Amino acid sequence: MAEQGFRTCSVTGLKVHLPAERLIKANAVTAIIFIAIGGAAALLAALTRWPAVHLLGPEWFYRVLTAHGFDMLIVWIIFFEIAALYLGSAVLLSVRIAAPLVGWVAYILMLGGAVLVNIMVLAGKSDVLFTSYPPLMAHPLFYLGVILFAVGALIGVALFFATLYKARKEKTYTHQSFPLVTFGLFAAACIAVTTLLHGAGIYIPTLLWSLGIIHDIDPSAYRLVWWGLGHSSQQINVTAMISVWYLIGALSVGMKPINEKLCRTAFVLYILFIDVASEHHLLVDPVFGNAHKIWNTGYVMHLAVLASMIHALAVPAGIEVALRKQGYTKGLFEWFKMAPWGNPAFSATVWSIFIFGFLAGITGVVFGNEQINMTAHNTWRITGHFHATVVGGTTIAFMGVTYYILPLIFRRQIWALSLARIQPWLYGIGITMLSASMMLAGAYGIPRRHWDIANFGGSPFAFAWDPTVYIWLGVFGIAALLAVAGGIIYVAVSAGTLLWGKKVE
Amino acid sequence: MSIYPPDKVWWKPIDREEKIWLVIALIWLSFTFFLMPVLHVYGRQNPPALSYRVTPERFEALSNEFIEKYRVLGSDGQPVAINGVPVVHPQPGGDAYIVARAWSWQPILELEKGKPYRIHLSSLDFQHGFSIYPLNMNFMAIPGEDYILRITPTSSGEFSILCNEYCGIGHHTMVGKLIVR
Amino acid sequence: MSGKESFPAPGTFVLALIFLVVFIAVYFLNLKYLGSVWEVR
Ligand code: HEM
Ligand SMILES: [Cu+2]
Ligand SMILES: [Cu+2]
Repeated sequence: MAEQGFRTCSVTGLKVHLPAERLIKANAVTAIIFIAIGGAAALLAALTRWPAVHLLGPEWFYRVLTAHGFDMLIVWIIFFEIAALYLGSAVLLSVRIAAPLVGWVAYILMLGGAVLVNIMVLAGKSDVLFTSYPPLMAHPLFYLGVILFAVGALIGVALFFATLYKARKEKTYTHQSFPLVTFGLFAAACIAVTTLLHGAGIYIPTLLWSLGIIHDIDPSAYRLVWWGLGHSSQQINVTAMISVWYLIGALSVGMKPINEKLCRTAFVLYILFIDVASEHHLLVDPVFGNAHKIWNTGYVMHLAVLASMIHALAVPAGIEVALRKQGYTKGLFEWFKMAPWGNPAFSATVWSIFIFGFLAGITGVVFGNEQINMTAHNTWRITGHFHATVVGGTTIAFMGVTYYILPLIFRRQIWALSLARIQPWLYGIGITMLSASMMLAGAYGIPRRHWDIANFGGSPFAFAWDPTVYIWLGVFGIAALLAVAGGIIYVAVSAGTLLWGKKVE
Repeated sequence: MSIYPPDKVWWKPIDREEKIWLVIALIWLSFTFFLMPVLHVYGRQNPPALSYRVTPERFEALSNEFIEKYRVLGSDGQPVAINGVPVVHPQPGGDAYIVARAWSWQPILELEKGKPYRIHLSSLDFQHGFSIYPLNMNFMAIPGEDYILRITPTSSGEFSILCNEYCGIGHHTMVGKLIVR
Repeated sequence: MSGKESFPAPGTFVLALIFLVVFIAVYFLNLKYLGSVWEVR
């Protein structure tokens, strides 16, 4: 009965278009390769910032930090998101992917761009960190690499929209609307379009500047447009992460959103209001007025936060309802105790929700307050905050969904399941400690992106920190080791599954 | 389930508890929002939003003029410097300059506790981060912009200034000093 | 209104309230911290 080019999934009953499946595999595998590279860079950077070790010299520290920021925040996350978009469109709607060839063009552009950037960074030609603030100048091929990557990603997003349109035209799904997961990914893709356009808008002139064709790049204007890329892309990550929560909730406990209307409205709030919030990176910049800063970061961002607070209730509530239906109805929390903790995807989701809510969400609103930001900007409080958002939130969620993609898309049983089971815990505990210790050290003024807080490279003005920060820096070091161990297990389980995992029929 | 299309009728009313949560969230977030403009009226710590375009050359000239005019002289009549960086005592209530360049802060300001100052902050080359230790107050120093911080020191002692925006390979050596009497 | 039935996820509601309390506490702690720095505008 299977149509040509399709197979039927035995778990979900969905029809899977095989060319789409191949694209999902390629993008996911590439994502995992880059989290391994970015993770190696994380280990080196962390061992350097841990004063007890102080491993690398300054040149390699800043170089490795550039690679870490780019490979993790951009390459790992976006490759995985593109895989998720193909999954959310072609697979969840049981439709052919609109144009597989275009998908491969997108893939090659992204891969080429990522490789180019890494070569230029590791060759020591682009020590500018991933923000590449002018007038620091990188090699033109660095900027070209970023542009290629962004264009590739944009094409991937376009393919997602085209596939949705195809499903709609061919009526491959019942009723009037997409599944909630697809709807959430649709919101993420809408945000991705404006984000990637900001990317093109800033990196094309910067490339021309590095080639000497444009004489000047205004540093303040650069910051404004760059953060339209840098921050909005975090909103893609949040939206994709929440979609993944709903996806894992459905697969692991059969969760139904308790109110579709509310959840969908929340996603729409993201599309409408999240983009402008990027100006909270500019709160202690010259040029922008107070009213302007408050409007952008305050009013509009808070409507986006409202959306997050809606999901914060809706996702766990959906899980609770599903588990109560399974008979765990005693008291307030029997369902929580009896949840499928042995399923690594489920425990990863719980860690993701916990870290994103308690560490990332709260500190995001607090540090985004126009006044409080003065005591947080560019300190480790910020680095701690975003390791809670994009690592504790998004990355752990993506790791969790990998444990479904491996059996359902790669059709292999998870290799070393017992290792996989402890992975979210190791990574979750590691990142919780990492993020909290960074924020605590940052509250003393420990700066981000700094090679030598102990001796300031021998500066005559070197000063001694309040000794209690060294407690937090010690916790940071241990936390980094735990998190890296969790990361290694993730990569090892994924690779082991692809190599040795038993084939699922 | 959230991976399948929703039921035919999914436009359902919202539960009571969900409504309560929505209202609480809205109230709390309105509070955090309105607090920001309110703090501009009643708060004492607000991020400065006054700045002018300035070329690095002009800013350097202005700051040199300022340093010449207000340099602290020692008992021997010679200008005082710490590690080669001039110490300057600006007029309370008046203008003062802090120049960021790779990789130093100039000059060393000597301020008086409880007196207001207009500190002009800018960079002559890259973007730098102006961070006062142990206060943990942070502002951006951006070339081309004269950022005016209207500051009143409310504690005295010796403070360090460190750079917390990456500004090249010597970034971590970019430390300065600030004195409040 | 469906308010007659009790909320199907009471545990989550409690967790959400705990979250809110932590949120408010962290917010005010940071405002206090802000109040300790120099006056600036
Ligand atoms: C094992 C896990 C990880 C560890 C131990 C780790 C550690 C670190 C350290 C030590 C820094 C340098 C902080 C500084 O000098 O200011 C850093 C920066 C950063 N990390 Fe991670 N990280 C991890 C995972 C991730 C992941 C998964 C992402 C993104 C998805 C990420 C994104 C970033 C970004 C964007 C920066 C900022 C780079 C910059 O300031 O230019 N990290 N991380
Ligand atoms: Cu600097
Ligand atoms: Cu610097």
